[in-house]
Amino acid sequence: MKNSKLTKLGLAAVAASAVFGLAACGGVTDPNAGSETTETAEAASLVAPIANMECAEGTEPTGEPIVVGGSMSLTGPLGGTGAVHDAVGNLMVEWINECGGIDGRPIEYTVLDDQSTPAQVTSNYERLLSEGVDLVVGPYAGAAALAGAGPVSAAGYAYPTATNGVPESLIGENHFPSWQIGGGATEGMWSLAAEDLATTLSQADNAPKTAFMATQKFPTTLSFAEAQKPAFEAAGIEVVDSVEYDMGTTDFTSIVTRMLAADADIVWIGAVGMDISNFQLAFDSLGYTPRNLFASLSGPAALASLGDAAEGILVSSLYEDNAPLNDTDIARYFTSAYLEVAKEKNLVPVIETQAAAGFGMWQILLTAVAEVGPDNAKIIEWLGTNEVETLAGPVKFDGYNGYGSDLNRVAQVQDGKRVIVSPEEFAGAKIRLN
Amino acid sequence: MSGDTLALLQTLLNGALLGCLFGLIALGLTMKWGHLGVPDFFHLSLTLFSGYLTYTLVTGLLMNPFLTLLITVPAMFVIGVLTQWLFFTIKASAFTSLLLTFALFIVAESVMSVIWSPDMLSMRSWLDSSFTTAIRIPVGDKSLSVLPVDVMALVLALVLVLATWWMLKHTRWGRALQAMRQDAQIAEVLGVRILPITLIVSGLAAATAAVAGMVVVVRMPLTPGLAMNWIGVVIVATLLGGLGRPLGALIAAIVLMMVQNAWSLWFPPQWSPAVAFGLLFIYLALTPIIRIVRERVELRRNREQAV
Repeated sequence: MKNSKLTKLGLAAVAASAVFGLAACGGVTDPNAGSETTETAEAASLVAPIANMECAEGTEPTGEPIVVGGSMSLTGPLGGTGAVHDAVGNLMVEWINECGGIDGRPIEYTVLDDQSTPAQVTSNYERLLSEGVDLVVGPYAGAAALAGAGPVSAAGYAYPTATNGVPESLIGENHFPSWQIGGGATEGMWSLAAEDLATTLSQADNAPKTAFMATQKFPTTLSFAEAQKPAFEAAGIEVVDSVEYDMGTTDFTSIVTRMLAADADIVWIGAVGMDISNFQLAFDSLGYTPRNLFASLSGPAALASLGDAAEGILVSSLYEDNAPLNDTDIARYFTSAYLEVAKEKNLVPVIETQAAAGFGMWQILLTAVAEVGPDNAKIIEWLGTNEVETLAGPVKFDGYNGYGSDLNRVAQVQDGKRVIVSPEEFAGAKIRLN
Repeated sequence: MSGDTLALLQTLLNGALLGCLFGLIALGLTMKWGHLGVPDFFHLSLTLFSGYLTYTLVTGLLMNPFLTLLITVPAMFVIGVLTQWLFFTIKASAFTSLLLTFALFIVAESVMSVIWSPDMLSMRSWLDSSFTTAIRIPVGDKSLSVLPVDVMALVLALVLVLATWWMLKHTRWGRALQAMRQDAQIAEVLGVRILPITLIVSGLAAATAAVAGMVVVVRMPLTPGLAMNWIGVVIVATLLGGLGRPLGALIAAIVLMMVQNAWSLWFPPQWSPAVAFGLLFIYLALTPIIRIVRERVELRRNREQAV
């Protein structure tokens, strides 16, 4: 009996000492303490969010509302980035109504959650169309954009999209992409982005000679990777090893072990969402730091979560908060307004590709509405022959599947801030390679 | 030692340590499934919920992650008790419990999205380098790397699993639980108090989710849908380890992750999840065959003894 009690006490002591011993191992520090690292909104004066409109500040829109419907991934694996697009949509509607609406008519935004499921996207658009919305905007990500295209195109509606990563899958003449990944090419739609990256790397100081590629099995990243291999080879960068992994993978240690063995000059990760964050865990775990790292389509929160480890990481980009792109009245007001919304909704306070593409999609649609009214046939006709000024620059839609402009850019985290490093005309800094 | 051997050792080590985390998550599940007959998917949500709660306490109050257990463990215990009390009150069958816990699992994702936003949250930049800097273990002229948080998962998994195993084997309470599992009615007749034991087991199982959630948030970024990624490994480990056997679940999780990692080292990583389910399939397919063979062998032995 006495022994039994002693055993119990011993076990409890071991457990307690293990826990408290571990508790002493590490501490917590506030990364924001002592320095103002959080982005703050600079005061910006209200201007119209689209180029062909005057802002009638203080004028209440009075006409019949123009209802815009959309499906968005508010929950599920794409919910993080979907929240950025949703915040941008709501911001745009509020903004345009603050400016008196379009032709005195307010805009209303009806959004349905697709739970990151393409089948639900189709169902959402069918419902929105049956409810008689005047216009629609696209959902987030390629698979969802394709899923929504069926009912939207069949109903004859214009279909502006933000980040459709599968540009080669034809939607039709009603498709108006904001992030112009295809750039007007008719085949190998990611080839321009891949060639831009390969050229940028090969022309930089310390140009890489070898690359390791790891690609998530997601339509967008698979398309990109397929184009990237020949582009690397053409630029004199040898791909020494490549792997694909499933969406939802969180443990990358075995892939990083292969990276270590390959010892390539640059690691190319075809990732969406939070993969880069989990890759960093594997880097930490193995004590490995890639000489150079490209993390193609990483979510803003994932990149921000890396802290100092994000320094030097290259990403695909459409827009970053650096001159000359941010040096316009619209960009200044958008930045100011978005940072406030981001703070309110716990989103990462950074304006980059996702927020800019979402905003651009709304600019495309509403610019056309301001020109020809909320008539889908006229909108499709007008956008097919005109150029629209967006946050990321002017876009046109006269190429295959609506892709008419090359807006592929490469950004890098430098001194803790994202900045475009290529092409030169939009660059805020020179690329740094190790 | 060659580079290939070292790479394999490193991969197996990482798999084993990650397996400890999944074994820790599986601990509560195997206890509830094996001893209370509740295949509790909601346990995974509680693990993630604890991770979020820990995140809030650490980033809001700058609490040491270990000290947050003083809040999250009792909180999860209460949730575990209440959930089981609900099942008891409505006299839920195993199938009804399965449906209810799965429904709670889905609802929990939305609730966490609303409270913490669907965006990714990471505690990495809040933790000092003692959590994130790899420990080097010399092996010949080279070295293996281990993250401190993985060592933490290993220690906590061993402590909790061994403590549970010991309690099941060596305490009156544990023996009562096993009796209850074999035949609840007979156990009750013999004086086992079914309801209090059921509620306490459920509460303790949920309390282990708090510990696992703390390890999760220190180790990886959180998203509301993260628990969905664990289902495969945790369920397979629970089944392979034997329902109600915490040590079995831990060992199964470790072996599973080692096999998955080794597979990813040599073969296309996209097939590694299929390996886990492949092992489960083989186990389920072989189990009846092994049972039949064993029964025949015993039958023959009995006949021989009778002759």
